[in-house]
Amino acid sequence: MILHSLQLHAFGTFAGTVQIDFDAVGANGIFLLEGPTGVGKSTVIDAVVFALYGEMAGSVASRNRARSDFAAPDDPTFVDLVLETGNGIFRIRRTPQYERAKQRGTGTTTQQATVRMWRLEPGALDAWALAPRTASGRPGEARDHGDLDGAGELLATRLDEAGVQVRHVVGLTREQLAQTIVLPQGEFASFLRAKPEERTQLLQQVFQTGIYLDAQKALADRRRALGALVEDTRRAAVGSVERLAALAPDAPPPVEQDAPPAEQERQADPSPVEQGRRARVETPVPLPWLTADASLDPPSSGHDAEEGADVLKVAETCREGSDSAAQQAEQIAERARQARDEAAAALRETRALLRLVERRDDARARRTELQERAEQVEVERRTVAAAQRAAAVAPVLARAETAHEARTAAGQAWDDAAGTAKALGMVAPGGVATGSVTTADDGGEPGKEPTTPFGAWLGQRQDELLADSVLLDALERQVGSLTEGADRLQEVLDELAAVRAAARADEDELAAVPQAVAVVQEERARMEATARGLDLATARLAAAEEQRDDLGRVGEALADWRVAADALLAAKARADDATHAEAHLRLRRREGIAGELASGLAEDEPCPVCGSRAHPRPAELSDTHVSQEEVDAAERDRRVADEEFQTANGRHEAARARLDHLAERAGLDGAVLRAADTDDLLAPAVAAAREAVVTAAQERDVAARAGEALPEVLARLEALGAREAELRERASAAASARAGRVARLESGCAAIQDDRAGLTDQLREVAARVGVELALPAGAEGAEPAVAIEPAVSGEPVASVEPVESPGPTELPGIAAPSSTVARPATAEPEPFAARVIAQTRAFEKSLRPALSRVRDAVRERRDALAAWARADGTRSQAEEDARVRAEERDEALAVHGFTTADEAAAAAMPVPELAALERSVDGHDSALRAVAAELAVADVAALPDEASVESVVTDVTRAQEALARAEQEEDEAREAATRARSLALTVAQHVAEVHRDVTAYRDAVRDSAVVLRVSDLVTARSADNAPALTLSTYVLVQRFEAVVEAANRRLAVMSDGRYELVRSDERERKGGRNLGLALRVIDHVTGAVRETTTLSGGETFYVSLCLALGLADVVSAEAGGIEFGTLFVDEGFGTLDASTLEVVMTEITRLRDAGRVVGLVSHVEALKQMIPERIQVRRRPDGASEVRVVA
Amino acid sequence: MRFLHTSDWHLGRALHGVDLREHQAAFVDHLVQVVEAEQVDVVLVAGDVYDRAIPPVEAVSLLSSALARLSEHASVVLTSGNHDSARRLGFGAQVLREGVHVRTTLDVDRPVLVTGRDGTRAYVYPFPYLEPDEARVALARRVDAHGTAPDEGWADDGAVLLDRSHEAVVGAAMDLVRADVARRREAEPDGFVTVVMAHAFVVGGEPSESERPIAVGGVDSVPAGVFTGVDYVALGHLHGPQQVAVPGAVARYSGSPLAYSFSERGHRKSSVVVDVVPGAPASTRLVDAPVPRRLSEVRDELEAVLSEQYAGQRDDWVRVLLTDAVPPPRYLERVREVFPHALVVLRDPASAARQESAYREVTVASDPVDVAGDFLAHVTGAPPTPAELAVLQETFETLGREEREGR
Repeated sequence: MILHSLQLHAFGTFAGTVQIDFDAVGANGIFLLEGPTGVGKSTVIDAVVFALYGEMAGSVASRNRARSDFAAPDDPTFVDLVLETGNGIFRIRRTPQYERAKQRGTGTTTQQATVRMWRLEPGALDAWALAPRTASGRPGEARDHGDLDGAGELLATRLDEAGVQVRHVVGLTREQLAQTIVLPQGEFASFLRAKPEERTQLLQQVFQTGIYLDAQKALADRRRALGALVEDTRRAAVGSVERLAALAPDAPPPVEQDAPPAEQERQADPSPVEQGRRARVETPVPLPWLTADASLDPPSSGHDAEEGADVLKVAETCREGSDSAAQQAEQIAERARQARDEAAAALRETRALLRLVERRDDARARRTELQERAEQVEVERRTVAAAQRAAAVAPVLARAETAHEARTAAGQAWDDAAGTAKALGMVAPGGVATGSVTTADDGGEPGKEPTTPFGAWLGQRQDELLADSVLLDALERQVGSLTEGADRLQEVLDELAAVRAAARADEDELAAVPQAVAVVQEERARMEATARGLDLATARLAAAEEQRDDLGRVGEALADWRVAADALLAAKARADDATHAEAHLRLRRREGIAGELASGLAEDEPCPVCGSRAHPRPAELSDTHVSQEEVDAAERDRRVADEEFQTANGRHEAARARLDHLAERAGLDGAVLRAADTDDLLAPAVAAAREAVVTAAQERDVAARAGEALPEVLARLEALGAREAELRERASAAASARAGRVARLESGCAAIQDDRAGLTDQLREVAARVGVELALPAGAEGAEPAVAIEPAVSGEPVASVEPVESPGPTELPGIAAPSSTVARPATAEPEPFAARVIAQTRAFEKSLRPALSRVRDAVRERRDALAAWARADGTRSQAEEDARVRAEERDEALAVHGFTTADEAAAAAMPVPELAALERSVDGHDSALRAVAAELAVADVAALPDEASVESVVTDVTRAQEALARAEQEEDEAREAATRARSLALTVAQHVAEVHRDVTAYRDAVRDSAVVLRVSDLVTARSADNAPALTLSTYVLVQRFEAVVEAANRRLAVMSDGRYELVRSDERERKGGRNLGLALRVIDHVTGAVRETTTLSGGETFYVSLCLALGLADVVSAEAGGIEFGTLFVDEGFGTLDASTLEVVMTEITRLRDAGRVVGLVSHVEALKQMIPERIQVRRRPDGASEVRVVA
Repeated sequence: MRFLHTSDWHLGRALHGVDLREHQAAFVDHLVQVVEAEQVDVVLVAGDVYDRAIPPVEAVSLLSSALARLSEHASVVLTSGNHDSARRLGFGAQVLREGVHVRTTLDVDRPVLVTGRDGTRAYVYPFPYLEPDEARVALARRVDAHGTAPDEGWADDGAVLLDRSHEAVVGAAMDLVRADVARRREAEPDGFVTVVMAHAFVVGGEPSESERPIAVGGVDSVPAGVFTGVDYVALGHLHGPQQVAVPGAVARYSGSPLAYSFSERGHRKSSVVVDVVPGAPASTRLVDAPVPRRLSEVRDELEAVLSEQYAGQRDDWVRVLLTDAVPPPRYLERVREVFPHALVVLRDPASAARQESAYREVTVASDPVDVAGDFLAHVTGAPPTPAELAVLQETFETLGREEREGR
């Protein structure tokens, strides 16, 4: 708890308003409440406690002391406190109950106590501190609690509500507060001497260890609840045991030890359950607790568990007895089932014997039937053998026939090919192409190496046609190259035209050059003339400028001279005046000197003038007498004026000389200029000089520009000469290019004409050889010659050329006449001639290509016919050879398979399906015979006695069936008995399980509760195991208390110089009391004795108590969440200390500042005033009421 | 001229119960000898003459004879410290015989003029301990000539108060002194020396345990810079002799003549002989004070303390710190038998060997289950079983839940 501010009015000894700002006064960590006795120092503490609790601090509390006796009847009393705890910042305003004057009438009425409590915002204090100070500006009155009205959240308006809130906020009761935070006068030792029970409550409150006390109570509650639970489970266990016992009388009697055979089970069926019941009767269930009085507490856990185990053991015996009876019944049932199985097996064996006898009889009947068909089967067997041989020969016969037919077809193909060749005019020489060309021994490939006369002829003809084909390809390429030659010729022709055109442009330009040169030369001559005048113009300009400047300087010099002349005149006048003044003064001094001398005369001293010691009538000293000083001053003035005159004269002479010199240089007369008053003489000359400068500058600029343009004209001349040389060079190159091209034209024309002629001839030859009629159509040009080729049967082509119109000797030569190619006359222009040759060549190509194509087609047709003929010839030879080989194979196969002829073989053959059917018939007969023999040879059948007949075996079967029916009935009965026994056993087991469950639950409950009971008894110190008889809550408090004592001792050691030490004692504080472990003793190290705290002296008690209170505050403040002891009050007690002890105690207290706490001391001890600068002074006013002054 | 500077006599003070009267008397004898031998002109006593406001009669007698004897050989200037009652000490100051100047009032710019054997004149400005609450009013009135005089007693309306701090009041006093010195320099161009006596805690000084804190508003010190402008500053309050760096002046604490706490056992107690002439810095020299008995400390286990190991300290005023984990029986008596002058005997067990409490440290932050488990172990002598711990766990969890649910 930290106190921030207190305001009170008409409270206790104070009549007016008292305002204490604890923040300010506690800034140093310690402050003093001081004042004379009875003035009301403790009232301030009372007010704090009253604000919190509505009661005063001391135990002698009286609410009536609250209202001030000095207050006016209508003046209300209130206390207003702002404090802060870990829970927040709070403001409490209280008024006490008091008697006030009635508003109407006389007498008093009771004003009831009121309270209001607010929670303030965390920032409220800051804002408050910044509020404007009161007019006096005195610190400590800054905070008026009225400023806080309306701020914060109103927590309580009723006394009881406020009480709860304060308890919650402060965490302490008033009494506890008085033992820890506020140590009231005379009661500071109450905590030191408190009874342990009181100490317990206080420590518990302060350290908030209530949870341990709560835990202690909670465990005691749980202990009671668990006792009830144990009783419930015990009852449940008793009930289930009783239900099990009730089941026993209904159970059947137990079985005998050695069980009878299955047939006897129905007569004597001793039940195992009966056996179990008997066993239970013999050993009665030892359950003493079943009948125990329910109100008794169950015995201790270990013993109880043992008894529960006995019950479980008996129940288990019951379950085992009924189970073994059920097992015996089940064994009997099992034996009945085995007997039934054996009867069933006997029946199965008898039935199998019957089936064997029937098989044997059946097999014997089939064997007789087969033996009757044997002869017919032999005939079928032979027929099958012949057909199988014929089938082996059949493929060879078929191949021989096929080869024969192929040979015939090949011969026909050969004849067709020969016919085709003949139609094209190719006939083999006689005797060459007759019949087969092959022999039996000749396997060579036909066509490659002809070994026959026909083959050789055929090859020769093919070679000829191949050569013609090659020639035609060459001719085609020549036509192509002819066209290319014409194209090249055209290119040359175009180049020639271009060369000629270029040469003509150059010649025109060359012709114009001389004229241009002449024009430029003339311009050059003109410019050179102008530029030569530049130097002269420049010189003229310089002269004009100099003349102008000279005239300017003459003007300046003239002005200077005039100034100097004026100054000279003035200086002269001053010098004259000064000379005159000096002379005048000297004159006046001389006139009055007698007076001056007379003033220096003294009695009995000789006169400097006359030497007389008597001065009968000395001259009067005139008022206007001039003194020597004045004369001296006039002389100084004159000398200065003279000097100035001399200086002015020198300056004037210099100015005049300079003017004359400059005027002479400018061609003027200085004397004339000085004589004139004005500058009229100089001005015209200056104007003329300026004009001359302008003119000269213009002339010079013209000449300069001409000189600058000259180089450009010279460059142009040089460029013209270069251009002329270039043009001449290019003309000569063009001439030589032209000549070269004409030569190429001439040679190209000649070559083309030659090629054309050769080409025509060769084509004609080939056409003749293949017998094609070749008629070259008449071309588009009139000059085109016609070409006609007569077909020739013999292959000798005959060409006849007939020019329609004979061309001139210089014109295009005919196609068919190589000799008619004529060279161009040298004099003629080459271009027209070449153009004609190109046109002719193009026309020639156009007419020749169709002819060439036709000849090529004829050659290809003939080559195809010959090739077909050759292939047919090869095929025919192959077919003949194949037919011969196949015939040989056929003959050989017939011999091998025993046929003399092919027809015979054909007769023996049979279709495959028929043959297979016949084969199956024979095979089926054979296998049926084998099967019957095997059936009769089987072991079981063979072993049968002959006398065993079907009838006798059937009788045996009937007997076996009857035996089985009996065995089944017996088994059913035994099974039913076993089921009954098992059912009973299950019921018993179920009840036993319930017993087990309930008894176990009971035992668990006893066991589980045991831990809680133990813990509960330990923490409440009811258990003997708790040797120190210490409860948990006390134990915890002891911890805290030890820490407090330790903290207290740290200060106590210093304050008592190591003499005293507090110790916590585990001993009982008083007889019969509980052991609280909170007793206190003091060790006196001087004597080594352990003393009661009550044996300490007054002063010792004071500082020990103080240490204890501070130690408590230390420990609480050291931990988070505890109650804060931010502000402590110690009301008196210092008076009990001697001076040096006081010094030590105070030194310790002032160190509290370091701990961030504030300690308020209430004392009138004078020494404290010296030590503590922060003080709340309480003084008595003359009227008897008190007032407060805060020094902070 | 020559001054002897001393302070903090604390007459009437006891050292841990030992009356130091005869030792203080011995110091006065020593002081008279020094003054005589060194031809001292002025003795300066800078406050804390008595230990308390109301001193014992023996202390008053001692001071009376001391002043009488000293003033036979030299002038004496004496001021009050924070331990003195200024008015009591200053009683009769005006009627004292010439050569004895007891100055306890706040007219700080009224110097004492003394003339040395060498003819040097010195103005000594003796400040009493300037208690801020008093001095801020009194000095404000003098500093601010235009302010109306505050009423005596309660009201001080209208006065411009100084700040409530040592710095403000000492600063204001020095302002007055500097103004007075300036005036005198005009009137007396021949030259003189100036000395200020002050009782304060100057920043940079090393305190000991025996000075009483004088913090006001949380601050107890004065910056050294306020003392500029004089030749020598004779300081009192700190008990260790030491120099303080003041710009342009020599300033130092003479320290107390006797050790008044064990923290001073390393000090060499002394007085200061100061020689000052106009225009030159003051030179100082320390004269050792008589040591009645050495102070020392012994820290060890009791048996070692009693052994020959510490035989050399048996005649000292010793502080004995016993490091035994368990307090040995009758240790105080046994120590005093061997160390007849033992002043303090405390137990100071080393933290590692601190006596192990049978009880566990419990705080609000402790886990209550752990605490209760330790409790079981404590009362039964055996650690709790897991089942027991589970019961405790459950109990405290239930309580915590109920508390959260507002029960």
